[in-house]
This record gives sequence, structure tokens and C-alpha cells, in this order.
Amino acid sequence: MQYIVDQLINGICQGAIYALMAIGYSVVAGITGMVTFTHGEVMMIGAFAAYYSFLLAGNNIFLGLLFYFGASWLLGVAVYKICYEKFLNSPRHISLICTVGFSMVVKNLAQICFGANRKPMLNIIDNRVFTLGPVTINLLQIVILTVVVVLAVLLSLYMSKTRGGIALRAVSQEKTAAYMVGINVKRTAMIGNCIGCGIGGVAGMLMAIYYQTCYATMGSMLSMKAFSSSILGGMTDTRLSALGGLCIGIIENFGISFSSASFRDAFAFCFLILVLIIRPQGFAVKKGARP
Amino acid sequence: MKKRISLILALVMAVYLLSACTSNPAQEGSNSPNSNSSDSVPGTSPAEPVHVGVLAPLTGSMAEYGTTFEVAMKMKAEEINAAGGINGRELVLEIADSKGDQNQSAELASRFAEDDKIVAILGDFTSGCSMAAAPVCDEAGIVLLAPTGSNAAFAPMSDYAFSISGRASAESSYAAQYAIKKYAEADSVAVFYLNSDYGVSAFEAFKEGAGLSGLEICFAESYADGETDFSALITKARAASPDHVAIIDQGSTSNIINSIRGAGWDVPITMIGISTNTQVISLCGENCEGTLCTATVNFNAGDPVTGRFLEEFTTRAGFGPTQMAGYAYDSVAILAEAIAACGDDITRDAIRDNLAKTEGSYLTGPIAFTEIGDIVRTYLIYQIENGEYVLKCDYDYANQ
Repeated sequence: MQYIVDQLINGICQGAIYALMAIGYSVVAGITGMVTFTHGEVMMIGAFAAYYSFLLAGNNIFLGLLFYFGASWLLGVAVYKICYEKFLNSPRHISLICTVGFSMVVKNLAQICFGANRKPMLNIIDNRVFTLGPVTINLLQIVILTVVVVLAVLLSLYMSKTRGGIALRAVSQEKTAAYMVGINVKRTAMIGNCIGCGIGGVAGMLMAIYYQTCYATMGSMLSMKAFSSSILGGMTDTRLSALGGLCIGIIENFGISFSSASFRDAFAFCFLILVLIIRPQGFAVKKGARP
Repeated sequence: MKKRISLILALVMAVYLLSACTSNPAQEGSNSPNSNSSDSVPGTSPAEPVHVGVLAPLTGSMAEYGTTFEVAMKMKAEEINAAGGINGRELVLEIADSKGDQNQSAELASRFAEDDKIVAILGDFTSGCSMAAAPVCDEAGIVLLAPTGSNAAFAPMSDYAFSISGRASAESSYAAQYAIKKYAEADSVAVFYLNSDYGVSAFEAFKEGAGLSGLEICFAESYADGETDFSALITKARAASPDHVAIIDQGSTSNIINSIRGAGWDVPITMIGISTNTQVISLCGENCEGTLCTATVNFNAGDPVTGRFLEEFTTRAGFGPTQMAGYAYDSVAILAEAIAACGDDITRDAIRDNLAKTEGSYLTGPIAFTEIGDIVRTYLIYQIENGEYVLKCDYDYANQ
């Protein structure tokens, strides 16, 4: 029993990180209408920004938040300007290939600038272990879960209650109509892309804190997981993408506990394939949801 | 105007990127047919430089080890050249990026083999890559000296394949018998090992060593390269309640240690395959206090030889050396000696024969090849205390 609960918590915690990445991913995909492959690199830049801010300014998580948010926002602008802006009305594969290339450039530049070796993340959160009956959870896991939930709620409120959020949704649904009602589509799409990247950056920082290390190639596999999670959620729905991430995290961890860790990715992707065979639209309810 | 500036910027970036990727060994114009191994290598008349190919993962997930190779080998090459080179000829290392990819490694090895200027090849970092390159080198009759190829199956693959790290199997068997059973007095152990050529062969030997000493392996599990989250594995291992944990890996060790301590588990740990790596201490901090490891050499600031290497390497690389840096350094030393012993007539075969006769003491201890081209090393046991590796057992601990 204890064992199952422990594995469930491991799964939820890892799933929460996947969920956060998937939220960022589906914001980007939903608003620009483009698939991105730079998300892993955005997370990596977020992690490094946090690393350097902790190094320079000490253990101040809020300053870290500000710093990495700025860094991943800037990267978001760069991605938008280079990969999307010119191609908003072109076939989708052009910007897709463009993001693949951009991600390689960023990854290799990061190896050149930050060095190839792993960097130790400072212990900014005192790690304490709490035991509640059969549940053992550490402070870090609690922090991660809280940040993920808070960010998801904030994003949800922003999207439904504010003018900016409504504009984002309008652009996401129909760009031409958004033009007609006077929305600056390019600007709004850029802001949406940057918000997605900013959230990706938080995910990167949380991962770096959780595993206490950051390195230039940390993003590649994870961006695949984020991609799968958001496909599970039907690509554009942030809440369902988060659910997809959570499911993948839990499935992976249970898979490992009943077989071998070498099969981690096999479990994640088999689950994805299975779901897509049964429900090609993912968890999304509306059949007409934009891909 | 804006357009022009952005165009120029783009061009500059492109040129920069290209220049970063040109560690490519393929020399245009070397279209003369592949020389037979016994021929004298053309283009190497006296006073011309001696070219040696190096395979190393300069980019990719093992890039930090590639950097270790690059820095340590260049250090030795510069020392040799400063002291007059090889019989008055400059030693030039042509370093190619294998990215830690086996296909890449085999491909680069064959380019080196076809290039008549190259007299021998050093590398690759992983056993898997070295083993991919070995058949190519065997066919071309060119020496492949792998500083860190510790898989027992590597050296027997070819007469031209040499390894100086000692077999991984010997080290992990030693760790099971002496570090874990004898020194730490554990009765049962949980093992995490990397699912790679290296990890699997090291684990097989670990099992043997454990069997010999009566150490029970109550949990053993492998994981794929690039794994980041170990919490599920650790929960699983913990359920088997072992006295001790052994980690057989080179890249993820610090991550596993952090995750074990993060889960509030204070089991003693032994690291195998990573030697006295200072990056583990910087990555784990307090979490790795008391951790044991086996190593063949330790770089001690007080020692005149290893201390000087430690200082020089740290300045150049920006991080401390592991024993792998020592192996890389020594591999250049023994190869240069083997080339020098050829005199003016440098052939790939003569280098092989001279290399097989190597005997002497180097930075990482005595080196003399066995019949099949690897060496038998003895080990030290270290423990991390107050953020430093402290020697606990000397070379003769096994006999005590």
C-alpha cells in the first residue's frame, strides 16, 4: 500500500512538471496555430536563467522567477520573429521545420556559451520530508505541485476574464475574424507565444530545482513528452493538456514500478498511441476542435 | 537598411556556427587510394608534423567527457611539442566530434583510416563507440587506442585495439567485494546501472564479485541513457530494504544520489565507474557525504606530479579532472613513445608493434599491455568527507 502511494506521488509530481510544459506548449500551439519544437530549449534557457540568477542574487526564488520569465519571454519573441511572423499564412510545415532548426541553434549555442558540463543548481528550498499516514512527500514536491496549480489557475483566469486573454482566444479561434474586430493579430500572437514560452521557462526552472542540475541538452526528450501530453489534450486546450501530462507522468511511474525503468518512454508513448487509436481527438470533447 | 543589417547578422551567425562544426577530419584532396597497412605512410617525411586522429564526443549528452579528452590530450601534446616533438617532428591531434554516437564514431574512424596522413587513432570515449570503430580500424590496420574503453570485449576485437583504463568488469567486481562487502560491511545491496555496453558488462562483473564474497543483490535495475527522473526506481529499491546502494553510471550518478537523499533515504552509497569525480561533489553537496568510490588515481594538490596536472587541467577546462582525464593524457604519452620508437620510418604497423611493447609508469600508474591489448589495474577506495575525497584503502587492501 505504502509502495503504491509513494509511486503515485512520484507519478503525480513528475506528471505536474509534464503538465506545466504541456500547458505552455498548448498555449503556443493554440494561439499561433503552429507546432513548435523549440519548447525544450525554452525550458533549458529558463533553467539556466534561474541558475545564473540564483548564483548572482542568492536564494531568492521571486527574483529567480522574474529573471527566468524575462529570459524565456525574450526567447519567445525571437522564436516568434524568426519562425512564425513571416509564415503565419504559409503552409504549416515551413514554420515547423524552422522551429526544429532554431532549437538546434539554441541548443548548440547554449553548449558553447554555458559549457557542456552539468551545472549544480543551488539548494534554494530546504528539503524536508513530511509523513502523513501512508503518504510521504517532500517539500520540493509540494512546491512544484503548488506552483503548477497556481499558474494553471492564473492562466485560466487571464484567458477567460481579461481583455488581453479574450483577444488571445479570438486570435486562436479565427485570425481573419480577429483582424476584422480590430485586434492586432501579429502582436497578440506574439504575446501568446511569449506567455507559452514563459510558462515553459517555469517548467524548466522547476525541473532544474527538482533534479538539482541543469545542462544544455536537458530539453530535447522533455519537449517530446510535452508534445505528447498536449496531443493527448487535443493540442490547444490547456486544461486537458495538463491532464494529459499528469496521466503520462503517472502511467510512466506505475509502468516502471511493475517492470523496468528502461521502458519508461515505451510506456509513455504506447499510452499515447493507444489513446489516439481509441480517441483520435485526445481527451478533447469537441470534435471540431482545431488541431 | 534594417533588412541589410539583419542579413549581415544572419551571415555572421551562420559563419560562426559553421566554424564551430569544422572539427571534421575529412581532408579534401586526399584522394590517393587507401594505403596498405604495411606501406610506409606517405606525406610524413621528417620535419613534417605527425598527425593523430582523435574521436571524442565534443557535443551531445556526453560533451563534458569530450571536453575532458580534448583538454587532457592537448595538454600532453603541447608538452611533447615543447620538448622537441616526436624525433623533432610536431605532434598534431586532429580531433573529430563523434557526438557519443556509434554510427558517427565508426564513420569518422573510417575517414581517419582513409586519410594517409593519420598514423593512429585515439578514442572514443564510450566503450560502445570504441567498439563500433574497432572493426573499421582492424580492417585498415590502424591503431585504435581507447583511453576509457573499459568493456572487456573491446580489446579482444582486434590486434589494433588497445585500452588503458583496465576492464570495467575488474573495477565493479572489486567494488562489490572490497568496497561494499569488506569495507562497508553490507550484506545486501541494491544496484542501479546504466543500460549501455559499459553498464551491462560492469553489472555482470559486479554480480560475479558479489557472488564470490557472499553479498546479496536484493534489487537490480537498469535505466536508459538520458533518464532524468529516478523517483520511481528509488521507491522500488527502497521497498527491498537493502543495506547499501551501488550506482554504476557515468552521467546520472549525481542525479540518483540527490534523488535518494531527496526522498529522505539515508542508505550508504557506492559509486562505480565515475572515480573521484569532483563534479559529483559540486552537484550533490551535502547529499554525497560518506559516499564511497573506487579509483585508480587521485589528483592530490600536494603531490608534485598529479598536483601539477590537477592545477593545469582545472585552469584549462574550468572543472577538476577525473581519472578519465589521466587516461586521456597517458594515452597520448604512450602513443607518442610508440611513434618515436619507429624512428624515421613511421608506419601504422610499426606503431602497433611498439605500442604493444609499452612498459612504464605514467600519471595513472604502471601501464603494460596484456596479450589482447588491455591492462590490469589495481584500485583505491575513497570516501567523501567534508566535500573531499579521502583515501580509505590503498592498493593492497584486497590482500589484507
